[in-house]
Amino acid sequence: MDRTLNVLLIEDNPGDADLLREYLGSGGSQQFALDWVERLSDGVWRLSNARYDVVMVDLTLPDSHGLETFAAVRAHSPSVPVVVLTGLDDENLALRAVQMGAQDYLIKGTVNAQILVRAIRYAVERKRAEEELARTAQAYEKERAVAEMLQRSLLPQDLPRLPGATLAVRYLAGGPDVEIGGDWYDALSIPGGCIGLAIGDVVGKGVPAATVMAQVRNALRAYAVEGHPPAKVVEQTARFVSEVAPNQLATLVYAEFDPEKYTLTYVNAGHPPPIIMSPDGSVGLIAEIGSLPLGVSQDHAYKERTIDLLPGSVLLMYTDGLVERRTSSIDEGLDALLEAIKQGPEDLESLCDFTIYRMKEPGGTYDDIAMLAMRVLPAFEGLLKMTLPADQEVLGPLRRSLTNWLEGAGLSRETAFDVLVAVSEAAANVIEHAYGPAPSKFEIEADRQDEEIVIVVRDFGAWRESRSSDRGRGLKMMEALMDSLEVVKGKGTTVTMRKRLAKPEEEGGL
Amino acid sequence: MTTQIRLVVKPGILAPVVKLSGEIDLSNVDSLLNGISEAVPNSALGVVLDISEVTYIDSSGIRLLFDLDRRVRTRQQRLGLVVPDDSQIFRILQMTGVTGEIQIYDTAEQGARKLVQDPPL
Repeated sequence: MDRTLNVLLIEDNPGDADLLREYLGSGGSQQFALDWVERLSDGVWRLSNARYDVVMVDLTLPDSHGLETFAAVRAHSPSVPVVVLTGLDDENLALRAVQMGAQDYLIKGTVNAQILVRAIRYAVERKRAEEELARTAQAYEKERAVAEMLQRSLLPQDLPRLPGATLAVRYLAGGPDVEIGGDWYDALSIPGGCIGLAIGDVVGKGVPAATVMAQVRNALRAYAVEGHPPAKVVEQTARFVSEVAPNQLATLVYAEFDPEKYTLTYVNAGHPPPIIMSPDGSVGLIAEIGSLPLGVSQDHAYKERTIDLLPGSVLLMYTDGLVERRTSSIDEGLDALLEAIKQGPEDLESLCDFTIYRMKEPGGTYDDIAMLAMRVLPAFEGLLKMTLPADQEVLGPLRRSLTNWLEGAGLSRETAFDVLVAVSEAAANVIEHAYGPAPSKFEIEADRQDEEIVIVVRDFGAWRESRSSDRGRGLKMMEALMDSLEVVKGKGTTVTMRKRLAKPEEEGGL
Repeated sequence: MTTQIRLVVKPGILAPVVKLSGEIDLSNVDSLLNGISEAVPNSALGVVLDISEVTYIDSSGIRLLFDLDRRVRTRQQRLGLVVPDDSQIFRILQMTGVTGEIQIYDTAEQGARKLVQDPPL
């Protein structure tokens, strides 16, 4: 049954060599072909010119001693299993050879035919298993890396910048023991001013799931920009998927937000329900409308539903990785998620981080997570007017208010940051130099006039000349960041800064 | 309320890494200079200041960076900054001349390694 095993014996003691040959000859059902050499150099030469299933090597040879002998064999033929032969007094050395990768060691004088045959067969089998394992691990790692790369490259890198709402997204590949799945999200501008939001999960894992995910996403995108109502968009996507990937199951939520009417129209194809946090802080799941996942039925009629989504609301869409836990039910997971959102910070990006932090099982393996959050901005009010205490602690809150206002005014992220830095410098100027230690106030007005942002920072103090080089630096920054800067000193100081809005094609987005 | 900033020190004998996350402005800049200086032992060759998670910096923060650079130089040490060149604060650092004066690294690991390898000042 077993094929003949080719054995190379490197052994300088002819007596030992004869004995081993004799043992192998009486090896029962297993046949051995033995080549014997006395020197390491000959052994290495043989290894270069013939294929061996196993090498038996004495560590003490005329031309090599100790672990070097093993290391030389190993370095020459790393894939051939090695059994080390050693005397009674050298057992520690042999053990170290095993630590370095030898399959086994045999102590001369304690070997009989049975032990020898078993040692050789075992060495061959174990080596084979080790290599198999390494190959599988390598292939798995590679497949996982490819799937993750594919998955990430398929998710939109830049979110569209949408008037009336801010978006935040997250994608977390699963834990190391979990294969990458087909979780995805998308956000796009729909002709007519609506915002299309999608989140989905393709059943399956690895590269195949990521590939189907791309098809679902692209199909949905194509149908959505044609301007069909959401239910039709999902219906067409479902039909397309059943054609290109028959029997492939996928869940998704597709929703369109109308920033003028403040309504959300959504379709849920078997996906975990999105969550809405109302402006009053109450949190709840969006009502179920019971539609089937994609791939269940080819001509399922998908239903849509329209609800109010008022200014200040937050919508959160996610995949099941966020709520599924090994130790508790999905309902418990959903409850925990609602609680996390209720307690989470106001800032949308921070809210995403906080939610994931709260929901991820400590130390546990977890599935992929995709998340898409949208905050509906309050209607843009042209003029922002604030009277603030001239205290450095006001700088943080000032930046918060200003960021919201600039966002509403439709500035690109970069332009908004420029204005933010310039105005903060002007405010810091006032705080440091306009007043004595008594409590006092200053004013900020921000206005959008046609294609220009005009910001006025006004104080009522007597200017003290700057004592540090900071202020000079601050002034230079303001000049560099804004299009114009005007400082008028009278009763107090008035700083007027202007910044043109970037042209739409320079605004970034998709 | 003082602006939120978090300071995490990863100790190192040759090049400790101080990571800041949050916003730097007039209201928290003084406490930072001390916090960072204390993280640098005399034995160190320098300090890596990781500001890749700093989302805002004003001119007082820029002063902090220059002050810190001057302080470590006086002690024959070096300052390295970690900040990605596509971040919003990178533009501010460029505009104010920080990038021309202080060594910038892509990652904290790279900074800690280079700071030790580079020839002394």
